Amino acid sequence: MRMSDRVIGPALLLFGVVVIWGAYGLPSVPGVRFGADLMPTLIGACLIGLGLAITIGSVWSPQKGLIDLSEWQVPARHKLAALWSMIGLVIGGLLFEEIGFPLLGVIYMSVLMTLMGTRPKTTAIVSILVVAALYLGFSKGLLVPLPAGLLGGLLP
Amino acid sequence: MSFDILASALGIVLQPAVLLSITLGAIYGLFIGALPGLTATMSTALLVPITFYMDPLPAISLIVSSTAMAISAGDIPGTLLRIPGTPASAAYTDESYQMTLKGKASQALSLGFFFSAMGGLIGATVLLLIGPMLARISLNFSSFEFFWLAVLGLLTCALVSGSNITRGFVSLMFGLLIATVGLDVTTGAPRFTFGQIELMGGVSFIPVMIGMFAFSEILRGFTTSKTGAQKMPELGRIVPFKGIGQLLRKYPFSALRGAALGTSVGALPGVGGDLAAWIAYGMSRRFSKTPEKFGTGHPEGLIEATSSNNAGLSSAWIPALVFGIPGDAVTAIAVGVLFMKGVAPGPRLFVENPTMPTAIIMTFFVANLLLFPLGFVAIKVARHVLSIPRSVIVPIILICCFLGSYAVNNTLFGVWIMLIAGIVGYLMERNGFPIAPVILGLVLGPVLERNFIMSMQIANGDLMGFFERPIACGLGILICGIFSLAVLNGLRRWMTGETAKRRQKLLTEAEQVARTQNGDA
Repeated sequence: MRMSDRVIGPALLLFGVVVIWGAYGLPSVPGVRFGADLMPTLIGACLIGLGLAITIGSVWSPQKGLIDLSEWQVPARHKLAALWSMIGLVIGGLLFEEIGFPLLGVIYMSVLMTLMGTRPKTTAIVSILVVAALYLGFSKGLLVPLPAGLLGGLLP
Repeated sequence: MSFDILASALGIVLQPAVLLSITLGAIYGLFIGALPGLTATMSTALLVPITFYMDPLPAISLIVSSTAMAISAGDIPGTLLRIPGTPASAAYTDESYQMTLKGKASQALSLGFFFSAMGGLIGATVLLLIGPMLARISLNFSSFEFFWLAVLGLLTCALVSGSNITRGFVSLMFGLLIATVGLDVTTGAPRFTFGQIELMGGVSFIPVMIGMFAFSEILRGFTTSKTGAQKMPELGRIVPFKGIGQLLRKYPFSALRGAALGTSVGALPGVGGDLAAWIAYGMSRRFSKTPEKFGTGHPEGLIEATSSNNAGLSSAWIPALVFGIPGDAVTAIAVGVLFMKGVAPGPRLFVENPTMPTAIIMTFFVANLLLFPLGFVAIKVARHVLSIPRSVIVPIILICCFLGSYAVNNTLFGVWIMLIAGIVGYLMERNGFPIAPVILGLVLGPVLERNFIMSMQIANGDLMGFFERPIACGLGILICGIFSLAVLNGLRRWMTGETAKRRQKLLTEAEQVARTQNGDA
């Protein structure tokens, strides 16, 4: 997704203003001359300057339209795969404790592999093996507390 | 450096845990580097959560060997499929692919591994010799010098990491801004935490890196139609390292010049080895007796560029180890890992614990020596690695991204950061904003701010205080000069309309590449 400099420049400028405004609200410590607000203020000022430079430069820019989505003119299942790669993570995160990593991991991988065109047999074998290996490696080997969820009674 | 330190460092490096880390890192690096679209930086970012559970030296050796191998293995898809495996190998992909078309795939792959190892060894030797010397000099540095060094690192990174300087600086500002989140380094006041306890300790750079380097790359990959394995040309008989001795006798100066150039360019804070390969290839062509052969499958430029690659990779550790200023994105990650392990890179490390930096440098020798046997195996199995379809690799990487981000604090907060960083990274990359300055800004932000505030307090707010000490003055003038030149050059281009034309040309080229990848052209 490409955006025109006519969008990026003003957005940066506005962002710089928000950063300075945020820095202005930071608490000051008595007797400290150069406090927590100095660095964010300088960064905000730089962002305003850079946003201005991009905005001014965009006047001569030969770009068409404000947002260009042409790179996403790909088969529908690719778009779905991209969407699932993000939404699947959100769903997985929200249901992480209840359903558990092993089941969610297999579902996440299987859906993605299917959308990307992998054969069902390969999808099933790879997703189960990879998730099992990662679960054992992380939870038993590295002692990362990965919830077993619904499969709690069945897993080692 | 005394013999005792060398001996004790070597003793530590030869411990089974370190050797195992180096070997596993190299195998992992080979796998990631050989797969098109997966970069050495991405491989390093995915490794970091694993390093939590390791001692400092095995953790760093894992990163060192995987990067060295990934950079070398990045030549494999370039040579066989004309798709550069890593940005560093992009400089000579056409040349090596032409060699494949001429039936010299075996020679192209062999010289890639051989001269990469040679360059890496030369770079490591320079690091071993120069590192302690520079550290002794920099022991006299105050906050003023360290401030300027941090600025130099950030400035050069912003200048060289993209075609547009303004965009490089925007990325840098993003990185510095993310670094300000958390408790303020001087007063301890919470900044931009929005009441979230998880943000009090700052934004962990690991999920940001995983998101920006791995997740964003995967998102970008969905915009191409091809997800299966690539079809490669007829390769003929593959005999690793055959004819390398002859090439070494024919082009000894090319190999040495490439290594020397890679070492010099890589040692500049913020630059790293990627740029070295481009300069080395161009220089080789310029000084060659047969420049007309370049681009037709000629090994001369390939030797010079591939030597400079790994030499730059090693020497990028000079500013990282000596000053604590990372040379590139990979060393930025490694510096972060060292900080997490309680090892603060910088001149004091060479004085207080000289065995540690020496042992780290020693791992470069072992990792680069390992490129010979593993390179042999890599050349043999290259075509099989490349036959793994992207539709199988991508879901595995994504699930690793999830686990890696979760393992930072064993909370889902890291996963959300990774997801946001991935989407932001994708948008930045597609709009011409380089990613490396964000990471460097994030890692160097606290160093820069601490030294800046300290210097401002010492100088009582007088900016001329930054130019009062001789080395600080020299560095300050150099940085102001570089910055002024860059701004003047940018203004000149803007006034003449060159920027707009260049941008249009780049966009057209990018569209053509996308069409070719989609199989439309």
